[in-house]
Amino acid sequence: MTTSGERFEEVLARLYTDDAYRAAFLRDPLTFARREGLDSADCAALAAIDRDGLTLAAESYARKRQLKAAPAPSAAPRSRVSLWARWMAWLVKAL
Amino acid sequence: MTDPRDRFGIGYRPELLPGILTHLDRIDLVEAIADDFLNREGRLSALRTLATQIPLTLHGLPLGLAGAAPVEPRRLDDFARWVDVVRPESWSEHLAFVRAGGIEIGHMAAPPRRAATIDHAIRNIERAARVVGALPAVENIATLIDPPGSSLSEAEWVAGILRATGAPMLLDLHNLHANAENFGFDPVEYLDTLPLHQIRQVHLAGGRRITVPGGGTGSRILDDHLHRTPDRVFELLARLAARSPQPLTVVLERDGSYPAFQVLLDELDQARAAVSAGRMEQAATAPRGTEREWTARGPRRLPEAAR
Repeated sequence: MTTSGERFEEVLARLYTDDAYRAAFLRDPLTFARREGLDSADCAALAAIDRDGLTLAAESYARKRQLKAAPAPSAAPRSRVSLWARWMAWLVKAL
Repeated sequence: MTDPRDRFGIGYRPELLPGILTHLDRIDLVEAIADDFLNREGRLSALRTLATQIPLTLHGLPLGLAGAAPVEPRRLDDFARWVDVVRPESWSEHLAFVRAGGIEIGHMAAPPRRAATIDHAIRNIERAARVVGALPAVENIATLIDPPGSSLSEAEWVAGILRATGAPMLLDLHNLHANAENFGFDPVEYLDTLPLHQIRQVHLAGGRRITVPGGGTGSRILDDHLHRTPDRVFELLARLAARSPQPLTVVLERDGSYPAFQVLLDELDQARAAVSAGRMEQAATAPRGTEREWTARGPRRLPEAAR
C-alpha cells in the first residue's frame, strides 16, 4: 500500500518529468493536489510551491535524462602524456 | 600545513585517466561513479586494477537513499557486488530521491525536509549498510527548487539523519554554497549545525548562474560540475578545516568542459592551501591542555606537564 510520503514523492516526480502534468498543476495547484488524493498539509505545501524552482528543476532533470540517453562525446583536450601513461590507459581500457 | 592524513583527490572520468596516471604523485585518491560501470564487467575489472594503483572510493547515484520508498533490493545487491569486485576503501551516496511511482526523475531530487523523511533515510541507510557491508558516506545535494512540504532547515534535516545513523558525511561544499545562495541561508551557520566530527569527505566543484525562462524572477546557481571551483567554496573549506577534529578527504569533481589537467591540479593545490589555513587557525585557537597540537610536521601529543 502506498504511503502518503510515497504518494507525495510520486506527485513531485511527475511534476519534475511530465510537462503537461506540470502545466495543468500550475493552472490551479490546490485543486490539482486535492484531485491527486494528497492530504491537506501536502495540498497546502504544493499550493505554495517554489514555481521558479519547479521550472528550473524540471528543465535540469530533462537535460540529465537526455544526456543519459545519448552517447557521451569525448570532450577531452589533447594533452601531452607520456608513453607510459598512454600504455597504462590502454591497459586499463583493455581489461 | 595540513593534517598529514588530509587527502586530496579527483573524480575519475575516462577523459581524465591519462592525467591521473601521469600525476599519481599529486593525487592521493580517485573517486569513481558506480553508475559508469553498470553491467560492464570489463570496466569493473579495470576499476579494480586502477584501485591497485591509487586509493579509490566508490560514489553512487541511483539508490535514492532519502526516498519514501524502500531502496530496491536489486540495486543494493548490484552495489554490493561492485564493492566486492572493486574493493574500494569506502563508498558514498546521496540524501535524495531519484524515482517514485515508477517514474525515473533522471537525477537527484530533494525530498521534503521533515521528520518522516528523516525516518525514510535512516531506514534506507541502515538497510544499505547491511547489504553492502559498510555504512555509506552520505552527501548533501544541490537543488534548484526549495522542496515543498519542508518543516526543517536543510542543516537540521541532514544533521538529524547523521546523528541517528552515525553515518559519515560527504559534505559537498559547492552544493552547500549553491543552496545557500539560492535560498538565502548562511552556509557557516549550516556548518555549525552539523555534527562536524562525522564529516569525513568533501566535494569541490563549480557551477554557473541560470535564469528562469519565460519571465520568471532572478537567477539560481546550477551545480553543473563544468566550471572552476569558486573562491567562496574554498573559503568554506578553510572554515570546515578550522572546525573539524578529524582528517578530511577532499575530492575535486569535474564532469566536462575539461581544462588542461594542470588546471585541475592547481585547484587541488588551492584546496590544500585552504585546508592548511584552516588547520593553522584551529591550532591557533585550540585551548591549552588539548592533547593534540599542530606543528609543521603534523600533530604531536603535548607532554604530560602541559596537559
